[in-house]
This record gives sequence, C-alpha cells and structure tokens, in this order.
Amino acid sequence: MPAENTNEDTLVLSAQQGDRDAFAQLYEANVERVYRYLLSRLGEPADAEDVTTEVFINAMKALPSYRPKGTPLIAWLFRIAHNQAVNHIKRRARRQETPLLDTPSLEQAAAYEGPEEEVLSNIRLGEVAQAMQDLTDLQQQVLNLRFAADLSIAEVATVMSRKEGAVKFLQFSALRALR
Amino acid sequence: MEIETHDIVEECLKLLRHGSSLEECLELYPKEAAELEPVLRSAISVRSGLETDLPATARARIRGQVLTEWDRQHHLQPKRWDWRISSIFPKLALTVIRWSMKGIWISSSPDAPSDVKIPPTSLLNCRQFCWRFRSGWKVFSKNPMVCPPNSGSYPSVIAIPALDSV
Repeated sequence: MPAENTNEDTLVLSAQQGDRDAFAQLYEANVERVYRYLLSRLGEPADAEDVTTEVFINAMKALPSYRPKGTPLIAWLFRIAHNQAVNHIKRRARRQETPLLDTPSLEQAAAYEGPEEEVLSNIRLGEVAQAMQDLTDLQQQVLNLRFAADLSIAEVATVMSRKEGAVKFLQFSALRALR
Repeated sequence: MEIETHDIVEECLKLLRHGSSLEECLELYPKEAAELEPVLRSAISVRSGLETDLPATARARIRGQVLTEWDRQHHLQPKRWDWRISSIFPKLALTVIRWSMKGIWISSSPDAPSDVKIPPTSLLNCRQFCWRFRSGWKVFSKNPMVCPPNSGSYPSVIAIPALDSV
C-alpha cells in the first residue's frame, strides 16, 4: 500500500507539473470506482457517466492545489464526486425530469435495453437501490463507498470526515437494517 | 456487544473479499454466527448489486473528453501566459535598469559646484520633468533649469525641489 501511495504521489506530482500521461494514468486507476459510486447514487448509467466526466474535469482544474497529506487520491476524488452527485440530484429535481428519489425503479432497470448481462446488472442495481432507500443518508453513503467504490474503512472515514469506529458502526447498522 | 460485532463484521468482510466463504467466516465466530449471518448475506448482496462495470465505450469516451479538456487548459492558457511572462519581464527589467542608470549618470555628471546628487529612487518624483531632457543637459540642480528651445508647452524654467525635501 505505501508503494502504491508513493507511485500515486509521483503521478500526482507529475500531473501537477503538466504531465498529461500521468493524469491519464490517474484517470485509469480511479475512473471505475468513481463511476460505480456515482451509479449507485444516481441510478442512471447515462447520468453517472456525465457526472464522472465532470468529476475528472473538476479534479484536473483543482489538481494544482491538491496536497496528498498521506491520504489516497481516491478519497479526494470521492469528495468531488459526492458534491457533484448532490448538485446533479438538485438540478434533476429542479428540472422535474424524474422524481426526487435518486434510485431507479425495478421497472426502469428492467426496461433498459442493452446486452443481457448489462440488463441483469441493472436489475440487481435496482433491487439494491430500492432496498437502500429506507436507510439514512449516512448509511447509504457508507455502503456506496464501501461496496460500490470499494474503499477501505480508513478511506471511507477520510472521505466522510468521521472516525473509523463510527464508519464500522454505520456499515453494520446499515447491513443489519437491510437483512 | 454491538461495538464488538461491527468490528467482527468488518473482519469477515475482509475475509470474504480475499476469497473465504460465508461459512468459513461464521466458523471463526461461532457465538456471533446467528447475528452475523444475515448481516454478511446483506453485504454479499449489496456488493453484488453495486458491482456494475463502466462500459468500455463509455470509459474511452469519458477519457477522451477529460483529456481534450486537459489539452485545452494546458496548451492554450498556460502557454500563452508563459509567453507573456517571458516577454514582459525582460522588457520591464531592462526599462528599470535604463531608468536607474540614467538617473545615476545624470546625477553624477560633474558639471557645476552647485549641482546636487539625487538618488535614482528620487528620480520617480521628478520623472515628468526629466523625460524631455537628454544627455548634455543639466537636469538636477538647485538652480532653476532651462528647458531646451521649442519645448512645446513646457515652462522654460522648472523648479526642482531642494535637496532636503527630496
């Protein structure tokens, strides 16, 4: 893990100095987790893709002022992603294109046309998203960061500015409520 | 009790992630197994439901958009700014040096006993009076100065402040 961090810090430093390839590597290393997190938050693949683009463009613009401070880049990216997701949900609510609820219904997920595996995946996502609707916002956020974004407890604690013990308890209470 | 259980859940999640089965995890914690099992099953379902990969086409498209924006940000604005900096600063530095040297040269030219020496920094105060003059003219003096003939609307006599007030 320290070696990974060192490598990431090197890439961040290079990107801050204008190295395009270094930034592309950082994108490749993190895009999947950012997308999964946004998909679990927003429900719609198209929305998640658009917001993923916004997250990386915003990250690129803010990169010169980013200081690692021992935390992985993904924690910083998730802070941006969280803010972008909240803004997107607000914009969507204002446009009244979809209900305020930010998760897809089973019917919406099943009606999505695409490859079979993709359809099944969307149905699973829809089921989980529906089940998670009854959780508090903090519980949802912990599950999204842990299971969609695949962050460790320590990383989730950094993103949410909470203690690790508090994150473990939120995770446990969320999973217990889902059973 | 609950404080311990959420730590055990996290330990089991780590084991599941590294390939252990649910049964193997429960065997490690037989006393808590009844409470752990539904919680861990929920975790497995949630992980499975949220594990949706970014399609390759979307991944490439987003990468293209992001790197296009990178190019726009890094190749247009900063380079133009760098070019401006690199062209302005030498010119500015040269102008300052020339002004300083001019002041030193003028103020140190030994012409008359009544001439005063004015430090280059004080030249800023007299700039509007000095720029009309060139080498060969007495610029700073306690005595009134005479402008060259045909100097436009400039007064023929310019009073220079006394040395004390400069």
